[in-house]
Amino acid sequence: MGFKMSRERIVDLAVLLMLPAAVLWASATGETFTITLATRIAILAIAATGLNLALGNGGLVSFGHAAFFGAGGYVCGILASHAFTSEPLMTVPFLIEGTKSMPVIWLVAIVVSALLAALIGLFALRTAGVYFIMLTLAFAQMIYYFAISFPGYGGEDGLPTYVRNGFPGLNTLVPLPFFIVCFVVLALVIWLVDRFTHSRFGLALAAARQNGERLEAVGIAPFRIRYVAFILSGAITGLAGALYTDLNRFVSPSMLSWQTSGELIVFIILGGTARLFGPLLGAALFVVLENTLGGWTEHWQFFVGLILLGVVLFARGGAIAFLSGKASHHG
Amino acid sequence: MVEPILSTAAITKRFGALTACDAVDFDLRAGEIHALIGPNGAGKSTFIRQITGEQVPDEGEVSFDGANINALDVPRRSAAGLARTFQISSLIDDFTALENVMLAVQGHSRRSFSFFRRAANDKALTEPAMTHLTDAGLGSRANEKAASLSHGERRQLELGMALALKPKVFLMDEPMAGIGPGGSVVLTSILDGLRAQAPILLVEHDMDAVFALADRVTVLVGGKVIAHGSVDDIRSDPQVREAYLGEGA
Repeated sequence: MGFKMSRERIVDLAVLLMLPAAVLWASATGETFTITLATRIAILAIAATGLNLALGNGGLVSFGHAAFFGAGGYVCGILASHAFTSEPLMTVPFLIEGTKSMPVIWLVAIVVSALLAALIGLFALRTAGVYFIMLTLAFAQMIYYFAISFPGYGGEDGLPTYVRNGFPGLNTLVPLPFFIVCFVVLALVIWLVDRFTHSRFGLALAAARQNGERLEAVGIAPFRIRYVAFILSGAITGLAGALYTDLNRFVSPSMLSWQTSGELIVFIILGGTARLFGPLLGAALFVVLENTLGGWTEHWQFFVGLILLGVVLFARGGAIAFLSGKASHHG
Repeated sequence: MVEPILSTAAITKRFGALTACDAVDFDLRAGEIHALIGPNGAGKSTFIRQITGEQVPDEGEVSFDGANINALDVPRRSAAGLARTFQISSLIDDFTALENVMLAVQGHSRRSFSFFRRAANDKALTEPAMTHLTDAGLGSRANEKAASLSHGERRQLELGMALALKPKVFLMDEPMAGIGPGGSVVLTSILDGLRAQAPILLVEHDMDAVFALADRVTVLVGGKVIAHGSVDDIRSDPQVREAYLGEGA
C-alpha cells in the first residue's frame, strides 16, 4: 500500500524491459536458445505473479498452485491433441471438439483453473497457516496422482502436442513471435494485478492479510475476499500453464508436482513477496541460475538454496527491495 | 419510556464450570452513554463479545433495533450498525491512517468487489474518510502509517473508523486503556460529543472518564449485575464501594 519510491519504479521498469532487451540482442546475434529461455521466464513469471496475488497480497501461502498450472497445461494439451487427431472430446450431451487456437485454449484454461480454485478454496480457506499449506498441497497431490494413473492422456509419460497452437496473424512456431505473445500476456497480467491490488478489493485483501478481525469489524467478511483472490490467482496461474505446454509442445504430470508449487514460491521469495515485479525478477534469476550453474554442476540447486537463504536472512522483501534500497517495506 | 436500541435479556454464558455472564439485563437508549464497569474478571469482555457476535449466549437474547440478533455473525452485526472499538487497538498497521478509515468507509458502503478503479482516487472513499479522520482529531496525521502513531492517536484512529461505519450504536471496549492523562482528556471530550450521533456502550476502567461521561452506569461483578443507576447512585452504593471502588480502582 501507499506510495512507492521512484527508485522502485525505475527498478520495476528495468526488470520489465530486461526480457525484451535480451531477446533483441539474441535476435541480432541469432541466439534462438536465449529467446526460448526468455519465453520460459515470461511464462513462469505469469504463473508466479498469479500466485503472488494470493501469497504476497493475500497472505495465503498456497503450496498447491501446481494444480492450476498443470490444469491449464492439460487443457492446452488435451484440446490440441484432439484437434490433431480430429476426434471430438465428447459428443454427448453436446459436441466439444479440440482446437488449435491459443485464445480459445487460454479462455478454457482460465475457466477450468478458476473452477478448480473455487473448489479447492472452498475447503482450504476454512483453515489458515500450516493447515492451509497442507490442504492446498493435498489437493494438488490428488490431482497429480490422478494424472499419473489416468491412462487417457498419456498418464505418467505425458502428452505431446506435436505442433504449437496458433495465434491469429502470427507464426507461433518461430521463437520470436511466440515470445512476443507470452511477453504481452505477462505485461497484461502485471497490469491487471496492479489494478487489483490498488482497488477497493485490493485494500480489503491487504487488510485481510494483516488483520482479519479488524476487517470483520468494519463489516467485510474476510473469507469472501480471500476466496475471490484465490480464484483470480488460480486462473492466472492456469493461463500460464497453457502457455507452458505450448512452449514445450508437451505436457506431463511433472507440471502438477509439488516441486512445481515449490518453485513458484521460490520465485516469489527470491524476487520479493507482494511486490508487483518480484515474481518476474525471481523467475528470471532462477532460470538464469539453472542454466549457468546447471551447465557447470548438476547440484546447481544447492546454490539456489544458498541464495534463497541469503535473501530470507539478509534481504527481506527480495531482490526488488534490495535493488530499490529498502529491504523491509513489507513487514 | 423510550424503546432501547440495544438490549440484552438475561444473557448467560458459561465456560465449563465458570459462569462468565450470569443472566445479565442491559439496555442502551438513544442519546446516552451507558457505562459498564467492574473489576478484572467481572465478565465485561465476555458480555461485549456477545454483543459484537464473537460469542453466542447459552441462554437469553440480544436485541438490536427491535430484532433478535443472536444468529447474526460479526460482519453482519457490524453492517447492521454495531460499531466496536477494540480494547487493544486493532488497526491495519501497514496502512496509513487515511487508508484505515477508507477501509471502514468501504465496509459501510458494502462495495468491496470493485477491481479496477484505484481506491486512492475513489472520492466516495477518500472524502468521507478524511471527514471522519478530522472529526476524530487526526486530520493532520492522515498520511502517517498506523504503526507510527502514538497510543492515543491509535485510539483516535479507532474512533475515526467507528465513525465511518455510521453506526446506530458505538461499542467501546476500554477506549482510555493505556493512554496518558492528556490523551484521556482529548478522548473524553470527543466521546462527549459523540453520544448525539449514536448512543455509546462504554466499557471502561478509567473512573474519572466514566463519572464525567456516563448517563447511566451498570456494575458487573462475578458475571452478575450488582448495581445499576445514575453516576450519583453508583458512587453512593455501598455494595459497589465494597466490591469495586473499595479495591482502590
